[in-house]
Amino acid sequence: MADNQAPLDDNDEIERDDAVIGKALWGSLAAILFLAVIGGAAAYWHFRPREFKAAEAKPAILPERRTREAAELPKLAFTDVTKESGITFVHENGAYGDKLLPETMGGGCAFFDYDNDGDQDLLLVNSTYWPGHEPAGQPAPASALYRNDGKGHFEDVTMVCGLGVTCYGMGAAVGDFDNDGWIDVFISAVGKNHLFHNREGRFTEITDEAGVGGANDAWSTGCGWFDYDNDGDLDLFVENYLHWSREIDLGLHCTLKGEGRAYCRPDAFQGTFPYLYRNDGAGKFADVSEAAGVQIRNPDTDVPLAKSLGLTLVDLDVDGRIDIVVANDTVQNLLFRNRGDGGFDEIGTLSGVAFDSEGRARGAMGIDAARFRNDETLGLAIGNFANEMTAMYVSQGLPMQFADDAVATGIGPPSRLMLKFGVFFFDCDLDRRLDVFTANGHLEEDIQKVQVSQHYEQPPHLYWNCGPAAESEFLLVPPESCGDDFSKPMVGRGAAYADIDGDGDLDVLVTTIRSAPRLLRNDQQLGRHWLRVKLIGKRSNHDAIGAWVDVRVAGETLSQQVMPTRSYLSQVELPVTFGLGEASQIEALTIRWPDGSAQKVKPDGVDRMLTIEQSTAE
Amino acid sequence: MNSVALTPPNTQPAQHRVEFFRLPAPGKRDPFFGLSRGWYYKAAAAGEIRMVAVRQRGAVRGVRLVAYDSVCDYIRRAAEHTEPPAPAWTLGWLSGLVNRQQGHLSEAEKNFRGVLEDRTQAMIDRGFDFSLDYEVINLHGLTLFDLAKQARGADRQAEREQYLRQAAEQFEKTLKIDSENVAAHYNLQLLYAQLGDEKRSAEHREAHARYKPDDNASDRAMALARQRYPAANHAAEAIVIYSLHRDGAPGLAGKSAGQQAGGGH
Repeated sequence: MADNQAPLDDNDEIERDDAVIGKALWGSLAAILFLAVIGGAAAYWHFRPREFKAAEAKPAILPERRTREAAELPKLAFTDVTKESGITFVHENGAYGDKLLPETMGGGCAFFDYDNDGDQDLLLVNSTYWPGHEPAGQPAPASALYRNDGKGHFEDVTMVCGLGVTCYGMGAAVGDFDNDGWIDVFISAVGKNHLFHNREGRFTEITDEAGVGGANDAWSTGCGWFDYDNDGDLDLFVENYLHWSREIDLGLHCTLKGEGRAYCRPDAFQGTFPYLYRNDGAGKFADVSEAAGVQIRNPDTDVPLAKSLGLTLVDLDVDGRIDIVVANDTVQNLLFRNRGDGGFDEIGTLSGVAFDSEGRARGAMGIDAARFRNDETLGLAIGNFANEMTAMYVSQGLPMQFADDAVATGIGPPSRLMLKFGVFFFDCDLDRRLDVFTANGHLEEDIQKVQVSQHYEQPPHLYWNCGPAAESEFLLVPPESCGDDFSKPMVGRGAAYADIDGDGDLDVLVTTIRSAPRLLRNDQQLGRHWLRVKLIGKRSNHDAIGAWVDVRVAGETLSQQVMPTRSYLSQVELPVTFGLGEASQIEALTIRWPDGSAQKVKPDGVDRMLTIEQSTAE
Repeated sequence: MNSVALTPPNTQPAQHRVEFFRLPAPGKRDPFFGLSRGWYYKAAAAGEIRMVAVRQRGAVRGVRLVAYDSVCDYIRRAAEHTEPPAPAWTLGWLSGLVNRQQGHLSEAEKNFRGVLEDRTQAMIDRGFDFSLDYEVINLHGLTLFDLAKQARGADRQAEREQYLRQAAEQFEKTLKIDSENVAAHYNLQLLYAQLGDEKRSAEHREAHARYKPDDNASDRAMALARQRYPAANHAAEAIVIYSLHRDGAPGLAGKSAGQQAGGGH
């Protein structure tokens, strides 16, 4: 109760409070002083001036004059035989002054045997005039099909064969989708794409029935046939580049010199999705892009990510299922790992092929993949924009783990100045090692006015494979070793190879923008042996696209995949060519078919084309 | 052009050698020597290198180009200079860059290591400590990574792993200075994957994804801004010409420059 408590003495209370406060004050001051001493000591320790022991600097190893590697380059001779071979095609991009971005791309080509006569014919994809800007009295430009007589002479059979399509064409994909033994043709374009069915050498357009035309406002680029679900028929992958329209393009103020219009950069446009068409048989295809997981969105903004130009299809992890590698312009590259259940996982970043060595996206164009060291190592070469090195992503030991070896292999530094488009591996001198070709050319005719080191026309590059033991694994072949016809600057775009004259070495075709292509006949006289292998699938797709051919020769195993989809918007021939060097005997030849079966073959000699049918025996 | 020790090989056609390259944009470094815009301005002002400006007649802005050979000359002169001698760190840095570009990776590695580790009296006097320069640390790491890539085959596995670990150490050093460094996170993702440390590889993969520039987002933002703001659209290119006689230009009556398409500031 309150009545039982003693009354408070106010004065006594005040005196006691002063004593407590005084004590607390001294205590606090002591604590603050203690903390200040400790803190000050810690701060001094942390921020103390660092004491360096002065030492004499080691002398810098100054850069030396660049000299050519000691490796002895082979004498290669490429001769421009475009005119004498009968090719009169001239690419038309319809440029009339507004500088619309699609005018800078295009230039697809394909070597394939459309008439089954055993030699490689040639398809050249054309663009066309823009609506409202067709010159009077000029026929509409069309793609062209040239028939090879087997000796490297070509005859224009476009109209006879029914391939005279006029569209703003970009690339081509050739493949026998109905397994009837005749190779069909798909053409990607700005606007609707086109599919032609080959009926014994005559083509009929079946785009609408097949359902592969795509959106009318899409800009399709790289495309290729492959059997992603291993059901024995070919499916189709088609890349799209940008969300582009003439209105968006013209709405942007793009200039090179501060006045006048220039081509806009791809970063002014948004990304897109590719198409994956599953072959359902009977000439029908289903667009399974979304369900298969190839429509990649930006994880933060959810907008379509890809701006695709280059495409190659290769079984990277050797699990019997073909994976997809997509080279993107100004955004990260994509790698779709085939799960085998009809779906894909995008693992570009995980696998190390998405970015450059500093983790940034580049302007990627053409692409190819090969086992260029004749062991388990797989290389992915990607042609990038000017002032960016050609990428050489290499997997060593771990099949899905790549690192860009452009500097380590020597291909990077000399490629930096070029604006690379078509890229492929091929053994140009038949020495058993795969070399690298790049087609180069800028987008802007006036580029030299603002970048003196850049030119609209640039020479193609050939990088000779010196072997894995050499310090510089790829060496740029100088003009005196590959000939002036090869090195003459041009506005290079698509590029493909085939043995057009049946002499066993690989000839090269390079396309250009608004100009004639260049057919470079390989006239090497090195006396080396070779073997060409053509496969015919029975349980797999007819042309065995996706099969691997392993040739054991001189103690090493050379492996190549049957895959026409390489380079930039282009298709190389279906037969695979092995340079054998001085070896005149093959120790073993094994086919790994797309259905998983393996077949051993005993070749009856070298310097010949070997046609191998898939065994139907279980 | 003067012929100097760093002239690219004669095997390339003359018209395709680097003669000039563009002055790097603010905050960027050029791809040949890795030097900044400010460095080039200073060196040109001191008469050490040759730089030219290309601009249209009457234009306010233009483009500046640096003569490649003049920079190579500068390196050689710097090496030969004795009164006072050229700073060792400058020689080491520039030599490292050129050696790396030429594929002389062992020499480049020594150059970068020298820049990072050497402590000369001149450095102490001037208060320089390049051991904290993450541009050099990253290049040292990249060069060690390249050396690892060159150590191919089973017989060089130990050497390869040693280089991989040394490269990883360099990028870890960078992260202590700049925890959001994109190149360091990216390379550590690759290095740890090759060293079999999946957990750390995944950590750095996530960090790289978080800190790298979002290409799609920047494209979208730029496209929208260019569509919406005519002045921004006009100013978006590297070289822009502003008419001195446009409406609203200083000293002229009329609408303000910002109100018309192409109006600049």
